[in-house]
Amino acid sequence: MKILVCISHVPDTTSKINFTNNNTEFDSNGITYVINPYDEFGLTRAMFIKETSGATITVINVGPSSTEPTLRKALAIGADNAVRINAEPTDANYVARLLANYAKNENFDLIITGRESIDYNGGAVPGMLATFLDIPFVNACLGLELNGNQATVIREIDGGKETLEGNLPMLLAGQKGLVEEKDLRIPAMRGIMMARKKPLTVIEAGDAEKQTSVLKFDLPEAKAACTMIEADNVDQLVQLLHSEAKVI
Amino acid sequence: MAVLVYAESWNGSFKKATFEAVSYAAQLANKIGTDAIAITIAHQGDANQLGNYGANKVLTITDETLNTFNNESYANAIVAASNHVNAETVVISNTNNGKSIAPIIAAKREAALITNAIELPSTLSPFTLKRKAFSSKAYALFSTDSNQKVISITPNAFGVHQIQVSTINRIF
Repeated sequence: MKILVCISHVPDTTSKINFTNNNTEFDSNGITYVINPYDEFGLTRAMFIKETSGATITVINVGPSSTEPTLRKALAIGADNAVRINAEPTDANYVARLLANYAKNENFDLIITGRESIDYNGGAVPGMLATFLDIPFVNACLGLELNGNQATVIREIDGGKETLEGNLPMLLAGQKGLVEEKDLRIPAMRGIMMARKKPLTVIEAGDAEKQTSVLKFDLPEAKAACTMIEADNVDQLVQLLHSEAKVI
Repeated sequence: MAVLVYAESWNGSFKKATFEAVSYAAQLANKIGTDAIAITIAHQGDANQLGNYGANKVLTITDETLNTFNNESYANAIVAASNHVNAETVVISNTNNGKSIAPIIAAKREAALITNAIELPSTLSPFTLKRKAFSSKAYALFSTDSNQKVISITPNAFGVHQIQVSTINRIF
C-alpha cells in the first residue's frame, strides 16, 4: 500500500502571533515551527497501517527550504521518503494543484491530510486535492479501518458521528480521533539519525493558478480590563451592566 | 451574477447557521445589486421561511439519491444550481457539511474559495474579505480578482438579520 501524508509547516500552537512589514507578513522571529497537529494525527495513523499491514509512507509539503526540518521530523517519526514542492504555499487552489500534479502519477492508495492547518485554518486543500484527483473525500475524519481495498471511515457531523464505507483510493482529512494524542510519537535518536539518510526530493513548482492573496493581517482588539465587584454589591453590578456594558 | 446560498437543513429543519448564511447572502446580493437565491437539497419542510432572511428565490432539489448527505453529490447539485441561475458567488455556512463541500464546489467551478469569513466584503473589485486566521488569534484580509467565488462564513460571526422579501419556491 502506498500512503501519501500531506504535511503543513506551521507555528507551534503556543506561538505569540505578530506581523511585520506593515502587517502584511507573519513575523517568524522566535517562532518554532512544527508539523501541523492535524497532519500529525494522520501521519501517526499511517504509521499504524505501516506497522500492522505494511505500507510505504511518503510525506509531502509545499514550501521553501526552511520547511525541510519539519519534513525531516516526519521522516524521523517513520515516513519512508519525503517530497518538497519548492513554492510559497500562499493560496489553497495553488497548493492543491501542485500536490495533485505530483500525486496524479504516483498511484497512492490513501492520501491523508489534516482537516486544516492551524495557521490559515482554511480547510480548503483536502477537498480541492481530492476533486483534482477525482477520488472520494472524507472530511473531519475521526476513525479509519482498512480491510484490503475497503475503508471504513468515521467522520464528524454536526451533533454526532457518521460511519462511511468506500473503496480505495480515497483522501481523508484527519483530526484528533484518527489516533489519540497519547499515540503521537516523539522521534527517537535512532529515528532522527535514520531520517538524515532517507530521501528528500525537491520538485520545482509547475504552473498553477493563485486565486487569492492576503492583503494584510490584524490582531484582535485587546480585551478590556476586568472590573471586580464585591459579591454583595448588586446595585453596582446592575448599574455597570446598564451604563457600561449596556446589556440591560 | 446572482448570489447562491446553500440552505442546509437537519431532519427537515433549518438552524440558525442557515438563516445566518441566507442573511449574509442577502446583504451581499444587495451590495452587488443582484438577487439572493437559496438552494435546499432534499429538504422536506417549509422553504419559504428563507424569505424572512432575504432570499428572493428558493430552489428545492428533490432526488432520492440526495436524501443522505454525500460530499460529491451535494457539491454537484450546488454547482449545477449555480450554473442554472448564473451565480458568480456561492455562500455556505462553515458547518461540518459546509466545510466538506465548499472546497469541492470551488474546485469544480474553478472559483476562489475564502473560508471563515466574518464580514461582508469591504470592496467588491477586487473582492476583499476579512476572515479568521491563526486559530482566531488574528484576522486576515483576503483578496481575489476571480469572478467566481465561494464564501464560507464562520457561524455566529455575522448574525441573523430578518428582511422580509417575496420568495418564489421552485422545485426541481
